[in-house]
Formats: sequence, C-alpha cells, structure tokens
Amino acid sequence: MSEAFVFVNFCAKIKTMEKEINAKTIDYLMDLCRMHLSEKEKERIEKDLNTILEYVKQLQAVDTSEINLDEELAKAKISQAPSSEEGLDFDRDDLLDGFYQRRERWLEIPPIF
Amino acid sequence: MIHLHDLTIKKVHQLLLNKEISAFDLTKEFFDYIEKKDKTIGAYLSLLKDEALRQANEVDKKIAAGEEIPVLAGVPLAIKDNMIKGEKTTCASKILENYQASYDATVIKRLRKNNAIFLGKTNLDEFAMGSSTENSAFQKTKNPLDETTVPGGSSGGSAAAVASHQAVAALGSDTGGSVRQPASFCGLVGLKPTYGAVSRFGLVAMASSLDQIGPITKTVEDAAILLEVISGKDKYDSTSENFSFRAKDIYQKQNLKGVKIGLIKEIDLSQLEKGLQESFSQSIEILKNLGAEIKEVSIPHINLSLACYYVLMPAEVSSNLARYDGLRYSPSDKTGSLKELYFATRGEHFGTEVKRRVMLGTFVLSSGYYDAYYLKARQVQALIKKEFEKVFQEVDVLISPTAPSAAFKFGEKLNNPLEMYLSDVFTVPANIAGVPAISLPIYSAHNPLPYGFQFIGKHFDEANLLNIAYLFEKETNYGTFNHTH
Repeated sequence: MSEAFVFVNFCAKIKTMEKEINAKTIDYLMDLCRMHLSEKEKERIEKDLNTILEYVKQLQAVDTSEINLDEELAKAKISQAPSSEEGLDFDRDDLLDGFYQRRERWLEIPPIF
Repeated sequence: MIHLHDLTIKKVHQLLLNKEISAFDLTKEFFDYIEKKDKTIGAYLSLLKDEALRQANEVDKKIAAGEEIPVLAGVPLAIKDNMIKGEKTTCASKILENYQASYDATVIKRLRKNNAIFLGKTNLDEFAMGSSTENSAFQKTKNPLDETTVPGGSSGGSAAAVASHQAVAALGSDTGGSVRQPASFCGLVGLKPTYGAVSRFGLVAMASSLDQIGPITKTVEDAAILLEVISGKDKYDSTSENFSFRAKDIYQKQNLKGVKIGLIKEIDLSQLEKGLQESFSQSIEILKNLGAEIKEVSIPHINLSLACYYVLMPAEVSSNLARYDGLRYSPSDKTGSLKELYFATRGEHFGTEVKRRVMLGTFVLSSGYYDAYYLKARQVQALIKKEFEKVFQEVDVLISPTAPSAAFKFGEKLNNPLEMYLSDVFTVPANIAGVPAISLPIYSAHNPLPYGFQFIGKHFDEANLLNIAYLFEKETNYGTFNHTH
C-alpha cells in the first residue's frame, strides 16, 4: 500500500540525516513544558520527535514568498466581545463550586512551600 | 418490540408522534441494551441514566399534553467526553479524572433546549489526540463491525456507540479527521462543519484554530438535523459565525445535473489498496449516473497539509494544555515546591501521545525554531487555503477517500506515531482550509469492512454539500446497509 511504502522510504531516508533533537534538547523541553519524563520516555520521544520533524521539514522547500501573513490576519473577521447588555450568564457560585476545594469566597489549594 | 438498529432521528420522532413508543420506554430500552452490549464494545466512559430518564419523562408529558415537540425531542444521543456537560468530563485523561464541570457546552445547551436525551459520555483518545481511541487512559473501545479492529479516533467511542446501536446518533469533535475517520471505520456518516459554524464553547480545547464539533450518524438526514440545532453564532465563542443552516435544504436538488465535482489529481488513487480503489471508482460512476460532471482539478500543495498540521496542532496543544498544572481542574496528591508539583502531576497524569505533542509543540514554538517550523507552517497553510478558494471557483465539491484504509487491527500502528498520523492524510486538508467535509460509507467485495467516501465543500456551503451527499447516499442505499448488524 502506498502509505506504507512512502513511510518505509521515508524512514530509510531519515537514518542518514542530522538529528534536530538530542538528549540535551529533550531535557530543555521538559523544563519548558514543566513535565517529568522517565528515561525510557525520553529516549522514545527523542526518536519520535526527530522522525516527525524530518517529515515536516518538507514544508521548508515551499516557496511562500507571495504569502503575507499580516494581510491574511487582516482578512480574518475580528469578532466583537459580548456587549455589556448581553453579558455572560455564569453564576459566580457555580464557577467556584467547580473548583475542588473552596473556603467561603476563596479557592483553596494544597500547601506548596 | 423496538428494534434499536432500525432507529434514526427521523424514525424516533415519528414513533413518538404516533405514540407507538414513549420516550421513557425507549430510553430505558437503550440503557438495558447498553448494560449488556457495552461490556464488550467499551464505547461509554460514563452513563447519565437518572438524568436521561427524567428528560424522557418531560418529553412524554409534552406529548401527552398535545404540545408540539422538536424533532430531537426524546432522541437518545451519545456525547464525546471532551464536551463539558454539568458533571464529569474526563477527556479520557487521568489529569481530569475527577474534574467536575460547572457549566454546559453551548452544543449541550442547544440540544437540551430541543429536549434531546443524553445517554452518556463516550470514550476518546486522550484529549482527542489519536486516530484509534487506543490512547484513552481508561479503556479500549472495539469496532462493532469487527471487534479485532479499532473504531478509529479520536471520536471512536461515539462512532462505536452509534454503530453498535447503543445510541441513535452522537457528537464528536474533529481537529484533523476525528469525526470522519471513525465514522468511516464504523460504516457511519461523519460531518465536520465549516470552522466557525458550530460554537466550540465548552469543547475542551486541543488545537483551537482547527477544532470543530460535528455529528456522527446513521444517515445524512440525521447529520443535517443535528447540524441545524447545534450551529450558529454564540456569544461565548468569538470565532463562531452567524451561520443559519436548515436541514430541509438538503432536499433542494433532486439530482446532480449541472453539479461539478472535483477529483484532486495530487491524490494518487492507484497507490491505494484494491478494495478502496474499486469502491471509490464505483462511487464516481454513481455520481456520474446522477448527472454530475467529474472534473480533474489541482490543489498543488494539498499533500503538505499533514506536515502543516503536525506543526500547527502540537503548537496549539502545548499552549492549551499548559493549564493542567495539578492545581486547577483536579487536585494533585503531589507535594513539594510549585515547580515539583507541576513536573510530577503532568509527568504522571499525561499519556505518551499527549506528552509527545506537548514536547513537539513547545519545540516548534521555541526561540530559534519558531520561524523555520511554526511560521513556515502558517505560511503554507495560507497557501493551501488560497488553493482551495481557487479550486472552488471551478467545482461545487471535491471528493477523496476519507482514510487510506479500512479499520486496522489493535496495536498495528500504536508504536509508530508517524504511521498513525498518516491515517489522517485525507481528512486533515479540510481542517487546514477550514472547509466542511462529510464522510459516507462505501463497500467493496474485497473487504467485509467499510471504507469512507469524503465530500469536501465550500465555506458555509453545508446545504449544498449535504444535498449532494444525501443524493449519493440514497442512490447507494449504504445509509441503511450497515445497520442491520
């Protein structure tokens, strides 16, 4: 099947390419994401991210010189915020109740220091 | 005796009006069936029995009082568990396992106003990230048509619930194909509306510029009925539009004379598996017999949509999921400094696919890589959008397969993320361009499982898109074929 064929060729190709992500980058990203990864997860995600980045690198060969993102953004409709008359009909207590712990009008969180 | 597999929204409405069944009995019948059937299928994460039976009683009271009821009144529906509905909403993630919502999503409010019945919340890939529903933190969902295969994803629970007759219809969400691909795998109709047609308020955000809520149904008519109710401007979602869709508009055209249908030349059909090639070609013949003109058209960069998607989507994911910190939404049992709390909670409660996308998104947005990846992907997206606009000056709708294969086996692609991502190769372009698309089941003698046939329409041209899909469905009779299982 074509997808499988394309995929096998692609995997063969990336083995010869320079890797964008290494163990140091993974540690840096983990810090930025505020997310712990086990050693096993780090290895796996490093490999997967390199494969995905090689796949998406094909975008870089596209000529986008005629695209002006500022113009594209300007075309997008700027929706209005709700007017004060229509307001937002949330109930304050409902929202506070949505939090797992509250004390009167305050949200309570576990001690963190 | 009620035959659940026969039921469509239209049929339930008729049965209720004729007083052949009561909404209460019907709802109870569904719960009795779910109790038996869902042990094997695993479509639902939670059931809403008490509320559903209460809602059904209300509908029966209205009918008894001779009040006019909306077409969705008393119709039992399933809802993907990433739409907020006044109680537990888990997104199939451990990080939201105990989250209690304090409001309803706009789609839920609109369905409630129409007296629809909510049977329960359905399984999904964690935070809607996946194409097989194997990434759920809680359970496996089987494809009712072949229990050794996946139901597709990420709205696999919704599709499995409808295909196994545990709901009349369902809502899913589609960021890169998550309504259409599971509908295709389970022999159903799946509609992704135009971006902005349906409010996203209360849909737990994955990639906000691409997410859309859409129906998974047995027929095109049912998809149209649900779309009419859930679509339109919403003050809580600034990206929603004043879009007015009427279900009856899908009956405007009686045939496809004068309709131009675009066959995208960049999609190489000769490379697809035999059963799909055959059923796709037969479907083209059906469209020609209905009077349509099939025209080959070019969208030069359409094959880059998936690459574009795997930069833009994770970038938005990394930003949207930053809010899950162990303090808001559900408590963490972790201790230590604030940073340690974040690291431990997110590390322990997010699954592998979520972590992969958060890391990838953080990378493409990081200093030194932003221009090369994120900005470039935005530019290519703009280019693809322009190409879609241009091609829609030549044709009314485009066609393509929905997925490159029928439902695959459990575990087949789980350890190879890129191969899994490629199963969305035909659905992602509609999300990148923001246009509507609908998947209908098609069949081949070479495979007992269905494939998907996709129609892609112009922005906010759902009436025309669904009209064409309806005529195709009527001609093929596939809308009822599958549902006798």
